[in-house]
Amino acid sequence: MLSTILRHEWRVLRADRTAGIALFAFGAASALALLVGSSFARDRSESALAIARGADESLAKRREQAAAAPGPAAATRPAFGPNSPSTVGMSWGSVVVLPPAPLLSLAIGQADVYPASYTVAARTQESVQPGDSTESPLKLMTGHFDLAFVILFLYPLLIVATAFDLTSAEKEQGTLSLLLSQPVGLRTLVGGKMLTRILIIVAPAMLLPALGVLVAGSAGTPGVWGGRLLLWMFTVLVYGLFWFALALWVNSLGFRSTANALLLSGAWLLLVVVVPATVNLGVSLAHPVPSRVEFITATRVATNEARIKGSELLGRFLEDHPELSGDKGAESDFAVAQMARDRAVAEQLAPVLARYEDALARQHATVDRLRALSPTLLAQSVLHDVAGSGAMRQRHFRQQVEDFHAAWRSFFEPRVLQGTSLAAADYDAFPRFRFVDEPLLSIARRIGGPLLILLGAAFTAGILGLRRYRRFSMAD
Amino acid sequence: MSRDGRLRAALGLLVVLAVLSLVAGARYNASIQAEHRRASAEQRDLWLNKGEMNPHSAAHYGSFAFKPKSILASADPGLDPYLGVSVFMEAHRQNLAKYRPIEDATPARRLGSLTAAGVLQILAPLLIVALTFGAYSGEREEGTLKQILSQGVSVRDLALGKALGVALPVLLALVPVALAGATALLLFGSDGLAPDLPRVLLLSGAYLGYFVVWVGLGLIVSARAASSRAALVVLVSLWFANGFVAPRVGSLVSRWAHPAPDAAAFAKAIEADARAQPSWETLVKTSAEKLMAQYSVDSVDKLPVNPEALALVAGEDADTKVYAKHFGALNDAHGAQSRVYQMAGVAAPLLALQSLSMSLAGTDFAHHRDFADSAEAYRTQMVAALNESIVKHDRPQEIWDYKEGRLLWEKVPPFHYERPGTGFAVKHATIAVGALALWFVVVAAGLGPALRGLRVE
Repeated sequence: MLSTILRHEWRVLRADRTAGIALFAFGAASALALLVGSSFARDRSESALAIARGADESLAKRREQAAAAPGPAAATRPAFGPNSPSTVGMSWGSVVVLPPAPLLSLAIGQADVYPASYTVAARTQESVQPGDSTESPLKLMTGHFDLAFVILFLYPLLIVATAFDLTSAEKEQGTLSLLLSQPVGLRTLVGGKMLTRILIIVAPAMLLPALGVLVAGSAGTPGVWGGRLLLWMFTVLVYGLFWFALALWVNSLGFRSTANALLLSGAWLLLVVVVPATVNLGVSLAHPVPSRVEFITATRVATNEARIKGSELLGRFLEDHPELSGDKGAESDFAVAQMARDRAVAEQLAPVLARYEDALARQHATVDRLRALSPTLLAQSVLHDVAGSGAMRQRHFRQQVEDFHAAWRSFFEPRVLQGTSLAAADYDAFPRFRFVDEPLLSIARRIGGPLLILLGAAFTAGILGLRRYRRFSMAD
Repeated sequence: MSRDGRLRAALGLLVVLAVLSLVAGARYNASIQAEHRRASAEQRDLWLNKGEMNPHSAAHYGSFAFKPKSILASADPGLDPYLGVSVFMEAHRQNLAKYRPIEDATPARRLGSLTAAGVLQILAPLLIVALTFGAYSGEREEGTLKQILSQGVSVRDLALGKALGVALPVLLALVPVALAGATALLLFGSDGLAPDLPRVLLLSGAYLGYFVVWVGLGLIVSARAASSRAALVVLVSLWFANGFVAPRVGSLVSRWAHPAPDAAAFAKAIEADARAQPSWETLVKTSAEKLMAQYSVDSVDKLPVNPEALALVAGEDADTKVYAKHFGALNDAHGAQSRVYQMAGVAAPLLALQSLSMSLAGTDFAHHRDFADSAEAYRTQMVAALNESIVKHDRPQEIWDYKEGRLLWEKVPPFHYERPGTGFAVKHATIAVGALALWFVVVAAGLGPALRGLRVE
């Protein structure tokens, strides 16, 4: 019976121009979105490679210069240059690069705004500097025409366009009562109609990204993005199920088709446009982004004081490092004095920085909590997390950068204090940054919550709708 | 009627939210403005009290410029979240503005925040669509159109009546927002209402014009459509394309027309040009030769001016030119992208209104560039003043070792930036004004022919 319904519905939908146009528009939009996304991902890849290559090349050049330096290899307190640990470790530092997100071509997210590279130096103060950005502000404001946009905004409209008159059209035409005179229950009929539409719409929506990724290529190995792609497809399924369930429930209320269209479009407007915008407004008023300006001023004040108290700080620093007592070289080494000042500045700035990070964390936590108010907010956070272009991967990167920073410092600080010269062999021993993506399981665990809420909402709407269909009236 | 009641309630709620965002945002912006002013004063204090150091060290110590925040930005934040708030001004290099507020946000923020501009640009047209789609087609379907026209009401009067009927609720949306904007300026603006009042008035005029275009569009489609349903589908599709697709496509086109270099290429190009400049040794030698000829001496020690000081000035000039070239090209590209976006307003009126609104609110790229250029001009002036002290130092052999104090620091004036006036805003949005005007003309001209072919039943 179900297969008969499916075949019948397939024929009806094929004849319906609205469904055809909507599907075509969705397909065209998805194609454009994949083009835009893969072009962005390609640019990002090239840029990341260029930065990494540039860093490797300059490191190799400096290694050569260090090896070619005249004089005994064990010379202490070398002058500014590739042999000096303070120059290499504290002034030049190391450039660390974040490889592009695994599914960047599907969702650009915040990848155009978050820093993709940092310069790490063996100092405490301001020693992890993000790379600059020349991104067009207009592009950032208007947003990207990527597949995430198509899924979040257009996909629900497509579902509304094909499911708004699920039972209302047949009821208005009078064919519903005719159909139900056959030995088929209303709910089986409704189920069949839904299933047809789900197959026609959700299946392509799920498979499109797979096609896009295969054609356009993706960052990293299939091992990295394969699992994430499956999670993406599952998210598209769940998001679609929510909107279908909503359409089912609205149809079960028995209104006319035009009323259904208005209700569902209103729901789209509310859930996709107004609620996310209102949440953002609320969060910006309740937890405004902490000001960087305070941090800038505090840094200058601390640096000023450290410079003025320079020799006093150096004296105290040398007391903390008894191994240097009596080392006249250490006392007059600019780098050692710099280290002493850095310590003092870092101490003063620590509470300011902590306040800043605190306020930011609170804002992000509030946004996370309010996600449940809109399926679009939920789906968006999941899609970006899975693609790797959201806040979580950036946080993960930042953590690894901090770890690398600690390793870099512990390599160079003793050498700066002792004033040992760097040889080529030392260069080979430098800590090297290698980014490790989060395991799929931790991402899956994180998105479990939001997806469960979405599924729960879909399930509730679906059950409510099916229950209503028991009392469905054939009369207008 | 009941639908109208629900629509009015929905619109009322949105207007309340828009006004709330405007006023609360204005208060927040005023606090940001005060903070920036305080920070500038503190920076000046730190500069004056930084103690004694060599003037060239002072040039490296540098100064910070903080971008002022306009109160009207709460009505239309525009590009502000995506642009840096401070510029570090130091010797030898020009820096990009740092600390874009968007960098601290999660992806949810990219779904937009509810602003007065957002409500009026995206949601108000939807209300207009809801009020106009059945203007003619609805009456035709109900049979009342034939009745009205048979009573001698001219088609033109009917059009005017319909338009005015829609205008009232729309004005009910615009007036409170405009009043809220003016009040916010009065309450929170540090310079009061007067300097920005022309901007408020022009903004109101721009949005009014945009609404008129939508009313006209709605009436035209309603007159020509085969049915109310068709009219609604067409108008909603236009609304969606205008509101959600056009901005992204417009931005794509603008970047395709005027691509800007990415950060790595930008830095590399500057580095390459900098390396191509004459080296320090060459500069010193050239200065030495010139000075020795000028003072007719045969040895550097006999010169009253240290050639290294002149080399410093020459090197600084060369560096400034390199940065000016590349930063100029980058800013020109972004400015050209804005202009292409305005031109795309011919295809979608939202793009024109967005550009005009941002410009009048002071949150477009042109205003940012004005600030950045101002900071750069100050930077060259600051470094020049410090370098001049080195050149004129009475003991040329000690130019790198001697220290100066507060007396010299005071000679460098504090950084002061005045936001440009209304004329600047209009000048940089002329294309947008033209595009909106074109839409106005097309719609006004098209309404007549559309009504002439009006089917009565």
